[in-house]
Amino acid sequence: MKLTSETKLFVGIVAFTALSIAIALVIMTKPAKPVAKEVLLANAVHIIGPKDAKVWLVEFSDYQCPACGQFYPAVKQLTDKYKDSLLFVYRNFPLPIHEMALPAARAAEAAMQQGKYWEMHDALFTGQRELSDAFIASEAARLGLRMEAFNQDIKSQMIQKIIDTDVSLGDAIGVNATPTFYLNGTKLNLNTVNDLTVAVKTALTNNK
Amino acid sequence: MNTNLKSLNRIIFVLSIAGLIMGMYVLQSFLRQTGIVCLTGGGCEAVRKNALSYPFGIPVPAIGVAGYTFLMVLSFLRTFKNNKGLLWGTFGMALFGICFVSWFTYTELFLIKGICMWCGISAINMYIIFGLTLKSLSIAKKV
Repeated sequence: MKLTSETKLFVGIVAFTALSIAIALVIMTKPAKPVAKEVLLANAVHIIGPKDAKVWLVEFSDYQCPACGQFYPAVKQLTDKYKDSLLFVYRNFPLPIHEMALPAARAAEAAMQQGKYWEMHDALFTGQRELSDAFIASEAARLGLRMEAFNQDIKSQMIQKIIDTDVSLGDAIGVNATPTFYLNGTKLNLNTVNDLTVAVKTALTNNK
Repeated sequence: MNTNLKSLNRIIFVLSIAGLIMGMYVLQSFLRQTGIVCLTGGGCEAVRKNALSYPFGIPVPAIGVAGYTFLMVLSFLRTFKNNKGLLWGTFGMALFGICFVSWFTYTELFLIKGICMWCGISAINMYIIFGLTLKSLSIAKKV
């Protein structure tokens, strides 16, 4: 086989590409270090379950993210079923590309001011496909919130600060997609929704 | 090989490598179950975590990697073997490629309802390769 100059050029391109990929793989396959509990739970306000639970799950999520919507039922099932042994923390991570993500997060925080955080949280995920300002207003009314206070709180700096705190934490620890789950400090690499359920159940079994 | 055919072959080769690199990046996220850079919001994650992205149990990016590797090998072989069979092989693979990316784009948009930007870029890439292959065939016919 005679190597033409063209062939040698192509071989050079392949060699360079292979080297680049090898270097990238070395860099990308470094295992992530677990994040400490006090870091992941710092200033957390949306908590379900006992704080001294041996198994703790933290979710960085976006109310308009389709994948987050797919995980929502599984998360709800886990927090309902294991409310005495699983500590769950929800952290806001609205993505800029989702127009209604931040308004939805603000709505949930505003509902929290009237003691209805988790009800609004559930409503936002259940009605994810209908997310709009009108939908948020109708859900707030349905939940019996004092609308004047709700509409004021939804624009408040205090509410924005809660969200900013969550986002800053996510940015600091390298969250770059939603949903991102940390189970006992270790970032979960999930293939399907069922993988989350399996991971949590396994952790609960191992930590009885 | 005719100069125009050579140029087109070089572009197809480089685009195949680009497609291969993208495919490998996305494939590693499927296999290692890690997130990837995604400018379409949670679309890449939604696609990755959906069962429809595993036709017959094979991750979609694995099919892309295989396809782009095949295209890359064929265009490489054409550098020292000016064989119309290789060009037709490239055409066949590119034709399969555009059918596959079209099917998967439909699946993303209407079934998964999430858009993976890498799949979108790969789809455009494959359509370009197909177009270049068609152009190569028309030139080869006249030579």
